[in-house]
Amino acid sequence: MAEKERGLDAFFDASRRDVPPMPAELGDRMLADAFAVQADLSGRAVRRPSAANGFWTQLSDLLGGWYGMGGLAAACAAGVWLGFAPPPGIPDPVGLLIQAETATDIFESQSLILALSEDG
Amino acid sequence: MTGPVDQDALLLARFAQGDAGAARELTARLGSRAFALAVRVLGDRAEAEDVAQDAMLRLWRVAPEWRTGEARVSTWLYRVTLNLCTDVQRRKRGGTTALDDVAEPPDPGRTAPELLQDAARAGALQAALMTLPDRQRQAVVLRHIEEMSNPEIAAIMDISTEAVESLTARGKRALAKKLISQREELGYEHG
Repeated sequence: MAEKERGLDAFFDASRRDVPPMPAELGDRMLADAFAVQADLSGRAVRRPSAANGFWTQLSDLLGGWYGMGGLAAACAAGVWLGFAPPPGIPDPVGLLIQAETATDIFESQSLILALSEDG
Repeated sequence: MTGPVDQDALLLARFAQGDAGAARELTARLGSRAFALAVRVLGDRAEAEDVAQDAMLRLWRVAPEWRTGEARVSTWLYRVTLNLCTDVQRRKRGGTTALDDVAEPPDPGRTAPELLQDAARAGALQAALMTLPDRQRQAVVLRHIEEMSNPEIAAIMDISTEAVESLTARGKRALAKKLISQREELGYEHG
């Protein structure tokens, strides 16, 4: 039987040489699939930076979308403006925060030595 | 994994990054091999085309998640191709025996010079292969036509190396019975 099996080699050799050629249309279909998958992959990659779970998108949603973000920005600008130019009657917050250094002479023109000498 | 760099894995990585040239090269390198394997296992070109296209589509889809070094791309593709072939054979069988789907052997009335041609020998072998049980046929094709090692075949078929040896040995015995008798009938003794 081993001798007969060795006789199979001629058949195997012939089969290896007689490779079934891939039809050109099949290759075209495979490539069309490949390009479709690549287009899908690149589409996903392009969408990724603006994906729904991006940081800025999440923050915007948390603050109520563009309307909320606009209101917040206007409130911030008003706060900054009031800080620098307060209306009359309201103490200047800048003055409250940054105290000017002043020197006060409590004895004015009186001399300490003179006062002591008067007491005797 | 040690061993030579898997060129197919490098091409697959380039494919996943959008390289159209890599798609063409992989189709030429692997698509044709998947098709040839499917033809030899199924014995039907139309079915083999569907199987090969499906196997390659699965390869394209798995590309972004492919982990280089875990398995060779060709081994993975052969495995997918064989699994798809098995699905086709199961659907075709539909409860009938495998012998119902066996291709007709080549016409014994053909002349000896014709049988000397490679195509005729390959055709005779294909007809004999189709009489083997599916797993035997797959193992014989991978071992003796695709010339893969037993460990490679074991990885593709998800069986032990000993099981591969057993399948190929039984397959070759069955083929020898069929083909050698044909050679003798045809008066074809040598070569």
